[in-house]
Amino acid sequence: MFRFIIKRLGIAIPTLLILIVFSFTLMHSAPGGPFTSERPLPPQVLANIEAKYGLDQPFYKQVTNYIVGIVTKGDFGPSFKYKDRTVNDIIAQGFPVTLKYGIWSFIIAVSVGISLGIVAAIKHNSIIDYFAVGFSIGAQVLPNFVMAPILVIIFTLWLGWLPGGGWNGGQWQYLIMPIIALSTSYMASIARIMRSSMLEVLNSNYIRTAKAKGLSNRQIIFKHALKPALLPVITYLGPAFVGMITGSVVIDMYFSTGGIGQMFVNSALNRDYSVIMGITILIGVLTIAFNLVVDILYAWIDPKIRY
Amino acid sequence: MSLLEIKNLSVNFSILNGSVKAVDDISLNIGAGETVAIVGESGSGKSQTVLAALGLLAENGVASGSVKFEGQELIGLERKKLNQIRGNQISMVFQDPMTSLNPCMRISDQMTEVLTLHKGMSKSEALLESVRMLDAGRLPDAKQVITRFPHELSGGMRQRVMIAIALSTEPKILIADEPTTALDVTVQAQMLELFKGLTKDFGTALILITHDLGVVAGIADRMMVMYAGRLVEKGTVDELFYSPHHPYTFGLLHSTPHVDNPEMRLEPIDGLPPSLENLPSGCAFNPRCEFKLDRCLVEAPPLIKSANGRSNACFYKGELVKRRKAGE
Repeated sequence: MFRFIIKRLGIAIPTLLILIVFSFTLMHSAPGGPFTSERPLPPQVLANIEAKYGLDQPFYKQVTNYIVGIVTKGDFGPSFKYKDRTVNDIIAQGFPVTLKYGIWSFIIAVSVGISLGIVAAIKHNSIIDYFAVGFSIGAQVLPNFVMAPILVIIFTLWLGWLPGGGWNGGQWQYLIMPIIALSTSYMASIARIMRSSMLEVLNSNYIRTAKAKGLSNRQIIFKHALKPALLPVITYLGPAFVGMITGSVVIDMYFSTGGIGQMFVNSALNRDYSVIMGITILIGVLTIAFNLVVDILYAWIDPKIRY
Repeated sequence: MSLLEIKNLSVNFSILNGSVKAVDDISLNIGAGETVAIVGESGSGKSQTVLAALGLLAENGVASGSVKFEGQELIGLERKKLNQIRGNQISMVFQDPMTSLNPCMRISDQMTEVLTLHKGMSKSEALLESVRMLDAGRLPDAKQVITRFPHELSGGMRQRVMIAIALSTEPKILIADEPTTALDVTVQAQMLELFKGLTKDFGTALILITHDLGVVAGIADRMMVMYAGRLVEKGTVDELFYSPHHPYTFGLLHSTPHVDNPEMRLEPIDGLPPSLENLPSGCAFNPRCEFKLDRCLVEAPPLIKSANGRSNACFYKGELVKRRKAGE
C-alpha cells in the first residue's frame, strides 16, 4: 500500500507537468492577450509591459521560467490584471471561501444522498422510493443557475429569512443558499447511484445467505450490504468532491460569495494568464489527490483490490 | 410428529402480465435425522419450495399453505420469530458457493455472527468454535483460512465454509440447495461424504435439493420428484430407483448413466420442461410422456397414496417399458 502511494505520487509529477505545458500552450494560442483592450495601447507601451511580464520571450522560455518559479519559490507569478496582487494572494483570498461552502455542500450531499438512496432501496417501490427517484430526476434536470435565483426569490424576497448574497466571513446565514444550490444536484446523483447499487446488492445471493442466517434487517443492511453497495458511490465521490471544493461560477455570481469559481472564469475572459494557470494547477493537484484517496478507499472496501 | 411438516404449499410469483404458480400444492414431512431428496429439472419449483418455507422468496413471491416446524407455523410468522428459527434450527446451504458468501467480509466474521446471534457466544468463543467447525468440515489449515476473504478460497473450500456455517448452530434441519452443482466432480464426491458424515454426527435432518440422481442414490432415504411445480412421485429411494411408477421418474432414471451397465445408451426425455406461464392442459408432463392416455390431455392426475407409503400422480397404471427401443 505504501509503495502504491509513493508510486502514484511519483506519477503525479509528470502528469502535472503535462497539464501545465498543455494549458499554457492552449492559453497562449487563444487570440488576444492580457493587455489587449478596446482602446489599443501605443506599441511602445505595450512592448514595455510585455517585456516586464516576460511575454516577449520565446514560448519555451516562458514555460520553463514559470515552472522553475513554482518549483523553486512556490511563486505562481503576479496577476496580469490586478496590478499589485500575486496569484498566490488571489487564491489565498478566494479558495478558503470556496473550500468552506464546498466542504459543507459535500458533507450534506453525501449524508443526505446516501441515506436517501439506502432508504429508497430498502423500501423499494414504496412512496419513499418514488419520492427519492422523483427528487433525483428533478434535481438533476434543474440546473443550479435556475435553482439559485429561485432560492433567492423564495428565501430573500418572499420570506426575507436569508441575505440574498455576500459572504460576511462565512456566517451561516450567508452559507445556506450557496450550499443548497451547489449540493442538490450532487445529492441527487449520489442518491440515484446509491439506490441502484443497494438494490443490486440486496438481490444478491450473499444477502439471501445473510437472511437465511436469521440476521435482522438492520444487521443485513449495515453489516452485509452497505460496504459492497458503497463501491460505485465512492467512484463518483472523488470527482464530486473536487467539483464542489473548487466551487462554481454560478454560485459565486448569484450569491457574490467571492470564491475561486468566479475568479477562474474572469481570469479566462481577461486572459489573466497567471491566474488561469494558478487555478488550473490547483484543480489538477486536487483531482490527482482525491483520485488517490478514492483508490485507497476502494482497497479498504473491496478486499479483492490490493496494491 | 414430524419435525417439518409442509402441507398444501403453493408459491405464486406476480410477474408483468399476471402471475405464475411456481409451486403447486406440495406436501411433505421430514422426521428427525432423516435425509430427503427433492429431485427435478431446473424450474420445477424444488428450490422455491424450501425458500418459501424459510421466508426467503424473492420480493414478488407469495407463499400459501402451511409449513410447520415442530408444530409452529412458519408461513406468515413475524420476522423476529422467524429469525430465531432460520440459521439456528433450520440452516441452509446454497447452490453457488462463489456468490453466496459476502465478498467484503472475512470468513471469520461471516462464521461467528451466527454463533454470537443464536448461541449467545462471545466473539472469541465463537471464533474458536468456528475453527473447530472448519476442522470438522475437513478444511485444512482452518486457523489460517478463517482470516481470509472469500475470493482467496477455492469453490470447494467456500462450500465447506458454507456447510460449516450452516451446521455450527447445530440445526435440526439442514437444507442443501444443489450444494454440489457448482463444484467439479471430484469435489462433489468429497462434499457428499461430508454431508453424510456431518449430518449423521450431528443428528441433523437433511433436505437435499438436486437434479443429480447419482447424488440422491448415495445419500438420501426418501425422495420426491417434482415436475412443473407439482409433486409427481414420492417414496423411498430404493423403490423409486428400482420400480418407478411415474413416467417422469422413469425417464429421469433412463437419462442417467449407470456404473454397473456402462453399455446402456442414455435415453433423454424428449422436449423441454414447460414454461410455467403457459402450462399444457391436463397433466403438465403430457407433451413429453411416452405413456400418455387421452385422459391426460384434459385432466391433471392427483397425487394418490398407494399401500406402502408411496405416492404417484399418474393415470397410466401399466408397466413402464421403453417403447422406442424395439423400433430402433
